[in-house]
Amino acid sequence: MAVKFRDYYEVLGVPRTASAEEIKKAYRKLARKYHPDLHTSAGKAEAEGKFKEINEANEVLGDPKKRAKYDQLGPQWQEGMDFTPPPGGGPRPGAGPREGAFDFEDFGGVGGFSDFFESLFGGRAGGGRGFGRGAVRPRRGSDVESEMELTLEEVIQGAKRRVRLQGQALCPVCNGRGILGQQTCPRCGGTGRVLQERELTVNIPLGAREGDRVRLAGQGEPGEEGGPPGDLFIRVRLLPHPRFNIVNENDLETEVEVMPWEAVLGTEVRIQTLGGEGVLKIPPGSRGGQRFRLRGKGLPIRGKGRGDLYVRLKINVPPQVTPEERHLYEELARLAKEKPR
Amino acid sequence: MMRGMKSIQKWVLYRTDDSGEEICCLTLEGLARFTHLSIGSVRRMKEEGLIAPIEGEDLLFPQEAIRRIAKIERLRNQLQVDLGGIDIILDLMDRMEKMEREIDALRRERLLR
Repeated sequence: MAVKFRDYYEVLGVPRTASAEEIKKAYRKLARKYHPDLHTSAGKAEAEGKFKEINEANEVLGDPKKRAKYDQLGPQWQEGMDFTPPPGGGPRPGAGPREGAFDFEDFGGVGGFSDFFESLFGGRAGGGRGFGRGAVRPRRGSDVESEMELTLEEVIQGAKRRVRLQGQALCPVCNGRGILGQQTCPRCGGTGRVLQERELTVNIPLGAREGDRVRLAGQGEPGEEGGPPGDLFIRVRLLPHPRFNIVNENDLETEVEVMPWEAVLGTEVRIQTLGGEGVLKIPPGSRGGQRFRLRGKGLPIRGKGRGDLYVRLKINVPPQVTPEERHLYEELARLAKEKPR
Repeated sequence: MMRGMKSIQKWVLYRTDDSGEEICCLTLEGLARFTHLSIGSVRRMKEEGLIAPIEGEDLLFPQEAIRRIAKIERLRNQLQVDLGGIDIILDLMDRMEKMEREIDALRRERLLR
């Protein structure tokens, strides 16, 4: 296949003997002049064409290896304007532009490199996206983090939830390229992404703790240029419980009210534990604020049973007493050996 | 909707414009995610006046901000222009486009006469 030879030195306006620094300088100057974002709609198409040429020239002359290969064509170029590429010089999969090169597709209507470039150095890998950041290569999608609030009951049982997420997905029209032929994709407006709501089932294993992260592999943001998607991390937030507080990571604390005579004489109290019931034996002479332990009634510890439940005693003083009760309290006061003060 | 899935959904919010049409807006964080930039970078663009939130909101941006940020990033990465310079460039470009539209309109008017 014969393609038209392009004189990259002429495009950049430098002699064939120009140093790398001179090429860089010439390229920068021309890039500033013909950058499509610096042209209004009237001159944009022309600037885009020129900008493409400049970039192609820089892609070759800015890279010593490519420049050397290109310079070998010198004598052949002298003979005529048509150029037959050497064998094996055709498009190679995976041959991408140099790091830092401009990304033509960002400008919607501008295509890739010329046939001449591709016959000499191979095609570009994939389509271009990414705000002109440079080399186009598969990139893994970003990880996404979200939160899920769990009750303590769900911590001891484990939880299975259907969740609806709104996140980014590859545009189904342009398949994430942002362009359709020479046009900007009308569905995603060139971003290659669309908002999409999806539903997932999330299993939270029992024993989850505040701040734990559950990973849903491949459910994050889609990858770029064929890269794998990122992961979705769900961070656990534990909701406050009306009855229990978490203490020492694995233990729970609650409160139980007893009457003064129960504290003095001792008693057995049925306690509501997390996910069940337990019996707490209160010994005679217990004081308000004293803490009792119910073993194995706390939060599940992964693979190691459960923590403990601490029960704090609260003495409930009756707000009203009958005349008979009052009489008995007065009798108690008279008989009591212990003086509070 | 399940409780707790806040951080993703809070990126995208819907508001009704003057004509009663529902418009899709992005939070600052959402904008950062969609443009693959840090929140700090997007915030600096807002502080420099390069992107503007929708009317009556401080941190809610129209979807078009994504394309504007793409343009800003191209100018920044490809031409090494700083944010202040980009602000001037974009302002001048807007003015030039406005003037070109006016010139076109005047030309058409003259031809019709």
